[in-house]
Amino acid sequence: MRSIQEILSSTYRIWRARIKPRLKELRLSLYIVRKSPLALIGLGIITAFLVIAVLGDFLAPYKPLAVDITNRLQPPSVQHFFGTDEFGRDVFSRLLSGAKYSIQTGVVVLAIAIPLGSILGAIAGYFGGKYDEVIMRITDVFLAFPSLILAMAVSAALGPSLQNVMLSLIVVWWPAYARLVRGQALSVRENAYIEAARSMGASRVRIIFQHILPNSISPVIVRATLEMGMVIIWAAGLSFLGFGAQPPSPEWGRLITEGRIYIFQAWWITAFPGLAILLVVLGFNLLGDGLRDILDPKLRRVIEVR
Amino acid sequence: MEAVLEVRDLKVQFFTYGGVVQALDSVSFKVNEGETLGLVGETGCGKSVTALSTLRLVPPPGRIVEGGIFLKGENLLEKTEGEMRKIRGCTIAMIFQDPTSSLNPLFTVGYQIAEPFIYHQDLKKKEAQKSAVQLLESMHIPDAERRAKNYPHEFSGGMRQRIMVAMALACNPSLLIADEPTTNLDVTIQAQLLELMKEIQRKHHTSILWISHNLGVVAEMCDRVAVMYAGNIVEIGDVKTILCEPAHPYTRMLKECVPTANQKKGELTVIPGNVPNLISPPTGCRFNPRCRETIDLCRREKPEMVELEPGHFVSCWKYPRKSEKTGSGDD
Amino acid sequence: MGLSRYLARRIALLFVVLFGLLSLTFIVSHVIPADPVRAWAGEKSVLQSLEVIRKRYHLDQPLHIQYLLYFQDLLQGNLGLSPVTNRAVLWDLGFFFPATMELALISLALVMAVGIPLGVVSAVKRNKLIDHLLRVFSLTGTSMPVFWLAIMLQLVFYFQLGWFPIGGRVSVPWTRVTGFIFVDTLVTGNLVGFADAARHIALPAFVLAFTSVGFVVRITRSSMLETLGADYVRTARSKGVPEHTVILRHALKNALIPPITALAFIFGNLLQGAVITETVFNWPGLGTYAAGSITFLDFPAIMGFTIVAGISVAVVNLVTDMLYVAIDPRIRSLESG
Repeated sequence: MRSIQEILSSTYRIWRARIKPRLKELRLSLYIVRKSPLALIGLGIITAFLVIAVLGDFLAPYKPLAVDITNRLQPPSVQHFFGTDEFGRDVFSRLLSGAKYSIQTGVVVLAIAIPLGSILGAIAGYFGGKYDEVIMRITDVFLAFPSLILAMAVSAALGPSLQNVMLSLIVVWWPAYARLVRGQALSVRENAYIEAARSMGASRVRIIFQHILPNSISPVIVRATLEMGMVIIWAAGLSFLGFGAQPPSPEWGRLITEGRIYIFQAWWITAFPGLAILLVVLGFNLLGDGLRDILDPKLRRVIEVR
Repeated sequence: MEAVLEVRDLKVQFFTYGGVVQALDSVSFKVNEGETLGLVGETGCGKSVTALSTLRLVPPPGRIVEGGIFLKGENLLEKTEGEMRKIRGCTIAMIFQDPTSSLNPLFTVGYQIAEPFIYHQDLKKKEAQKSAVQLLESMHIPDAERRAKNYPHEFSGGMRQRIMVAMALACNPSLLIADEPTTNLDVTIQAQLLELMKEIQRKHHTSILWISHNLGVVAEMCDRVAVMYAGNIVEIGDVKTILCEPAHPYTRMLKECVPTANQKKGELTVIPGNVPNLISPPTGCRFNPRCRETIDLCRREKPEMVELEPGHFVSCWKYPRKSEKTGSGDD
Repeated sequence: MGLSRYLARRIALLFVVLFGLLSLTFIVSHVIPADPVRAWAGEKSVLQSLEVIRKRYHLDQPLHIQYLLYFQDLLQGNLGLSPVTNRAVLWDLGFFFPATMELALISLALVMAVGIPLGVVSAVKRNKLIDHLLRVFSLTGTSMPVFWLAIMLQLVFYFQLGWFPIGGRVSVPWTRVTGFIFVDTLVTGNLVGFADAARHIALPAFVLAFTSVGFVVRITRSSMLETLGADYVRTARSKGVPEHTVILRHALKNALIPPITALAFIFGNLLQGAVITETVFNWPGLGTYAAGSITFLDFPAIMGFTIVAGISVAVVNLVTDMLYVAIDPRIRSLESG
């Protein structure tokens, strides 16, 4: 039965040793973020996007699939902020409703490709030798293949649908992360604490998950944020080419394709979805760029003072 | 003797995100014509900042806040950037500590030495290259003409330092600033370089500001010595006095730190404590937290520079102004 | 000499990767559940002709035999016959490649000419207003969906302003000599054709350049920032070297390697046919060819295209490595030593 004194003193010790330095780091990071208004703008855009993605269907003034032939191809107005398309459907509502597909695709693709690539990369980097050779050759082959073509090929093979687009993007995306984490693993494994862990009997699996991966995380996080935007663009691109979401889905790439036919009569059908994609991707890029500055060790040294 | 360089009450601060670093706190000293003044102190005391200030090359977020830097009577702080550029590499030249990183890896050595000739003496490239080769020869680098076409990574450390010296001497500067030129070299190479520097000084009558934290090298090269601590000059005098009969407690402790041959084995003297944080330096004399001989006044007020004997200046409350004491007091 | 051995090693590696690439393509295209032969034969297929087609393209053989037969053909320089176009794949590739090459070269030139100077400016004027503006500019370019920008530009510059044509490569007749229209029109004195080709390439090249320039600007910026803080830059300044020379000669040359890497990557992508841009502008290049061959499951074409893609990437990598050696003498010593 520990006395109150003991509990208090051990709490204090934990604070001093573990939490306080982390708080200082956090304060430093927040300071840098505050100093980088662009990153905050990016964060703002992304938050707005997430809100729209989740609540899109509720926020939409019209039903995205509601056809109204009498009102087709109307320019933007008070009743229809972004105008109507060839079926009289409200573009604004379709836009709001389609937001969720983009975020879904981005999250799913990265949530699978990154762990997949990272684990393979960590294995290759840490174990070296045969594992490294084999995994790296496979990565090379995938990387040598023109990515968009590969994605198209896989999508074509599996049939056009949003899910298959996600699958094809995962296939295209994992090699870069494998390579990135492998590089990190190669340098991390030389560190003393790895040797210490091994001498204490940690199994190799444990070492990979508890030491190698966490310490290779930093560039992965930056890259993931920056790449979220890329994934969204590629997904839209594949939809544009006809491989992704099928009508009448209001997925943004799809909207652009459908609007293209009427581009000269009704530019708003294509313009606004594209603008939406641009804004969202810009948001991720701004945030990722800001994150990169924060996590860049060289920059931190200039700011921290002895 | 006229002073080639006079630094008066120089104050330099670095405006960082973490606070304002008071790097140099009213630094004053003189370098006379033809002499070598040593500037000694621990890492971080401001020696390099002083040197860079002379050339007005203090990197941002640093700024010269107050004071004057007089080159043969002219205040450099009042000159335009264009005028400063004409002075750099021509009237004042500098050699740096690490010759490997200080030489541009992508250009030939001959070109880098020729640059001062091109920009200060308006020589054409061909003539400048010829002068560069001559300079290399005078630095005792064999096969100079062929080697001028080599790149820095094809030379050894000692030779790279000679190349730096050659670059600095191209236009026969009145003042040469050497920022720890021998620190990164092997002892034998070091000796060669010191010989070379002495030869240069004899031939060209160049004044040298020699920055070092190595008292042995200082003893060898310098006529006078200035001791720096935490952005202040604490003592100046001729080399013999400073090294044999130092007045300031810090200089005394520095001297004790140098291991001698007849020292008892096992124990090395250290100066207790750490170099102070220059964002919030100690009040009064900056050395007071680590000094063995502090009095209450040391913590309250910064001591003035007092001339103990002609040419020997100390900044310490042990030697207050109008005092009759000569400094060999009770300790 | 070490250098030629290095080259030989690189070319050998190229073949290994190419082999892997082709095998991968083979697997992907033959695992497709759909039956390509029907697509090839078109709507009015009779069972008999289906069999004929199957025989001609060895599709009646087991998979591993097809694999071997394919490589056998390849080594004899036969890339096969495209069932869709009914021409030799090699001929088709030769027809479409120059168009993509020209577009890629001009876009690359734009990216280089604009990206690197802006990156230098960004670094020198770090954290000032121009730096922030350039950052937004760069990020906006790379955040844009390429096809959307293409369509918008068509809307404004073709439809509303009428300054540029809507697409295609050229609208006036010209004689093919090399296939490179800018070369051919000059050689045959066809200045009208030259100008026309220029007007046609303007929009697609701008789209490709604008969406890629941001990378180069950012990479040049960060690389320059590093070099500007280097000791040798300090040395150059202490010698009294004029500031613009310090930046453009001492710093920039040392900063070039990451931007060159980025440019190589961008060029590689361009060469593989910016599929989407070519589609929107109806540009008769590899991108359109690739898209078509995938849609129609034209195996020989897909394989042929993959070879071209693989070789072009490898060549670009090789050239990049040569550039590194040319810039940095230290690498030279490393490779030949």
